Amino acid sequence: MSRHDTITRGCWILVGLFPIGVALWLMILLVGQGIPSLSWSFLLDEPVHAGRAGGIAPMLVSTTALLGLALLTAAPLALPLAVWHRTVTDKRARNRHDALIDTLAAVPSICWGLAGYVLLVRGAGFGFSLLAGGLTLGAMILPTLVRLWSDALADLPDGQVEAGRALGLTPFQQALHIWLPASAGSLLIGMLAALARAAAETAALLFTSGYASRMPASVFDSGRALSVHILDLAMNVPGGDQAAAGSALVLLTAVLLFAALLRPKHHSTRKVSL
Amino acid sequence: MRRQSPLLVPAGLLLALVVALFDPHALPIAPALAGERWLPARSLFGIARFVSATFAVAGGALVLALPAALASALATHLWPRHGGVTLRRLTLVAGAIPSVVWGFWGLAALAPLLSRWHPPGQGLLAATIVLALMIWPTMALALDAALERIPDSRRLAALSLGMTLGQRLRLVVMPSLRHAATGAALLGLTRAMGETMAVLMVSGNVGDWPTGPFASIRTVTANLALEFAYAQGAHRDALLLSGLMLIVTTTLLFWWGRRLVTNQ
Repeated sequence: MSRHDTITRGCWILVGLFPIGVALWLMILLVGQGIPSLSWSFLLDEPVHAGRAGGIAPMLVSTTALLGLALLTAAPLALPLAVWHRTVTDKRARNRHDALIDTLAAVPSICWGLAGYVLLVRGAGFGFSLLAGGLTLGAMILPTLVRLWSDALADLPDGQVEAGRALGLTPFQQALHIWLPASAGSLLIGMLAALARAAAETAALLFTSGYASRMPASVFDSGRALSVHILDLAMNVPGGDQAAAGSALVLLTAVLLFAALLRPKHHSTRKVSL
Repeated sequence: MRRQSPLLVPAGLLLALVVALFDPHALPIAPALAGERWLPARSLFGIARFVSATFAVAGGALVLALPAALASALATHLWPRHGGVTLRRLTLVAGAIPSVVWGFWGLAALAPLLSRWHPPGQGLLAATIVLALMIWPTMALALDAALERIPDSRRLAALSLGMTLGQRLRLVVMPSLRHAATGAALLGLTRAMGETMAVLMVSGNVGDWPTGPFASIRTVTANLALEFAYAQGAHRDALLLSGLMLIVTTTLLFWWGRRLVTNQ
């Protein structure tokens, strides 16, 4: 390769690293500002003075409950869809399915929040509650989960699928005894990545699970997710920046740990460079 | 029947969304949305300023993010061996950063920086930059996949003609990317238009026309987030209707973009 090419290549790589660099700047800033407020009591105490002091324990509990409910809502629907997607031979039906799933994934999250408010908070009479928030979040992550799980099952070798069919197993038995054990690892990673997306969500929760910052006693209580807490501290609480940075650091760490497990879908195997 | 029945789940969800947001009784308000002033207390529900702010912010973010995404997708392919894989993973991770966290960064780092130039620093420009940082990873991954799909034969032909890397990029790679780049731009645009939290936190929210970099703007989504919690009656109907319009607009743009990205 000529020197001219090396220079071109180097320039593109440098420019291409710039946006990643800004993301790193964000992380360094959060670590710098957030570390001082991190401590065991920050994680285990209730907030004091609208969150300026004290901890984030109720938000951690609410977030966990919301994620659990979202998973309980989305997983039982997503798994059959993903299995169907792997087995269906009708290409048109599959394309139609993909288009619908992608369309759902592109709906702005605040619109999910509005729908959750109309249908669950008011319509079903759940009020501002973890239940309404969890169901809304579950509907929102369903397309992500279906996509990630379909990708996970797509890696399953055709031989395994055919062997199951040749043994005369019913589709349900095939799924239970062959598919799930064989792709358990990638299914788990897909699930965590979908949960990362749910944990990062704020807009869909504003009108469904609400703002209450006390410890929730049941799923019918309103609970403030960690992301909503960060929003409130940064926007509405003067002097809340320190605690906001700490909370943001906790959220970012959790989300990125989950998301980093996901391997990119395609690996470049080509021998000829660009 | 069995072949198609799984489609009922996503189709049902989509239907539920539309049913929730579409209230036939609210239709008489629709013409009022075209007005300029938003004063719910006086029954003025014009969202023209919010719509223009949404397009200004999303369009601006696109202008910033597309070159960034292109450069990072190219870097993924040009970096020898494992560097590219690492860069791709970092791009995935950067795309997972929560929008409130970007909003916080905008308030804590970006706005102070911009306020040296024009205090308080919040407004159209800050929102545009934050949005661009949020949408480039999506676009970079779409472009990355498109680069992967360029057939080897085309590259080999270019190599055997003795083209330099710069020539290959300009004459072979870029033309092959044309559709995918438009598609990626549309996908990024839909994401930018639907984004709420980060924009809400750094755009000022007064609701000016987006006339300058420091105009205190309010997007359609930010307006929903700020007012829906306490809205009643016609005010609520107007907000729901604006939400429905948002879904319809983003869905149409998304379909167009998706077609360009998937059909080569």
